[in-house]
Amino acid sequence: MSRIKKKSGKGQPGISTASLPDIVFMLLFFFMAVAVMKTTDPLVDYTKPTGEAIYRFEDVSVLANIRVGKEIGSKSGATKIQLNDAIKSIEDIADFILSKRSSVAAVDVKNIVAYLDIDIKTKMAIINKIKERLQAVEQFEVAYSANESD
Amino acid sequence: MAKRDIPEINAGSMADIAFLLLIFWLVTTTMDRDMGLRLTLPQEMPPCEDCPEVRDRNVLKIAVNGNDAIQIEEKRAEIEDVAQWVDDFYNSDEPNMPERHLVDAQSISDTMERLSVYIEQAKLIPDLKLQVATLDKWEKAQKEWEGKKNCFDLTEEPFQCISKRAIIRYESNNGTTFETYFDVLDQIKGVLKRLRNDFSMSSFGMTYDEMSKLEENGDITLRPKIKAVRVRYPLRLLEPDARNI
Repeated sequence: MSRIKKKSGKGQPGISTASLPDIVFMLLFFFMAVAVMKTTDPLVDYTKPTGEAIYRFEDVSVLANIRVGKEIGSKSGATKIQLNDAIKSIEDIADFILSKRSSVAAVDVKNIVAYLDIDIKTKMAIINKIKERLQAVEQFEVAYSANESD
Repeated sequence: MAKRDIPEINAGSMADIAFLLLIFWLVTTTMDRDMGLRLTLPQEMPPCEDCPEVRDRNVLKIAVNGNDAIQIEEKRAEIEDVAQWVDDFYNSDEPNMPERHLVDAQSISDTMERLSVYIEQAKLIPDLKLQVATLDKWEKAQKEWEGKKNCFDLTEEPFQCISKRAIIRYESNNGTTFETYFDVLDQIKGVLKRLRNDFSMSSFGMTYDEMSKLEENGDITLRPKIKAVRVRYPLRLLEPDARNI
């Protein structure tokens, strides 16, 4: 303490860092307010489209996330489907939706939305197949993940 | 006794702690919110027995092929053209655009009266199966007109109501790229969203989107207004099953 005092007495006074915690806390609270928890890490690479008729989901827990894109780190470049945290085949979609239904509260079952993250380069063939699977388990509410254009 | 100074707690490490928390939050959360274009898939229906006649003018055909080329009403078109066509579909009186009928106090009372007569008549049909089918048909029509009446009562303005047979048929192909498919779909939905919001704003002083958000959060008083907007600008989008093309 005494040494610091001596120093500051001689040269210019140091900038007070007392407000630094406040600033950092402010940043922290900002992030806590705007960010949401990551559910799973993407294993496939996808670029979302942008559009204007975009709906903003308030309740994230009712979204059944299906990701479609090229597998990260794979050289084949084939389009893959990711359910939860693993690459799955198209046949697993029915089970995925059923398990989603059992994991949410009973009143929310009818609010479940199949939320599709699809790479813009994907061909419709695979998407049509996914839609068929969703129809087969009576999951009619679907959303294509997209960013809002300004 | 001399008062002893209580040593102050050093707050120098407070910033470190806060930084640690901040970085933890940065790593475990994501900024991209869940937004998307909503769509309701059609239900699997049995093949219809007596299909109603489809008039060409009532169907707006939009198609995208495997090379991402867009075609509207059998003519080559660009993505920018889609919005104009959809706008015309809802608002134009041209002979190639869907049939529309006037909804005003006169037509509402006339139709309601006629429908109640039809329903009374249907109740006298001896064949039970036919009776149920006919009743069903007229009751559906009655419901539809109640919706129109609600819209008219709320706005107190006569309007041209688009025929219930009018649809936008949006066909894509297995080779279509998702980007093009999405852009066209977004254009169609975007026009409808704009029409609904504009109408709702001028009639009720609040956009349709705002009303639906409030309704979702439990404000049921807005329901008639929301229904009125939907009657005025109904979503009429049909995507033929890719298996049938």
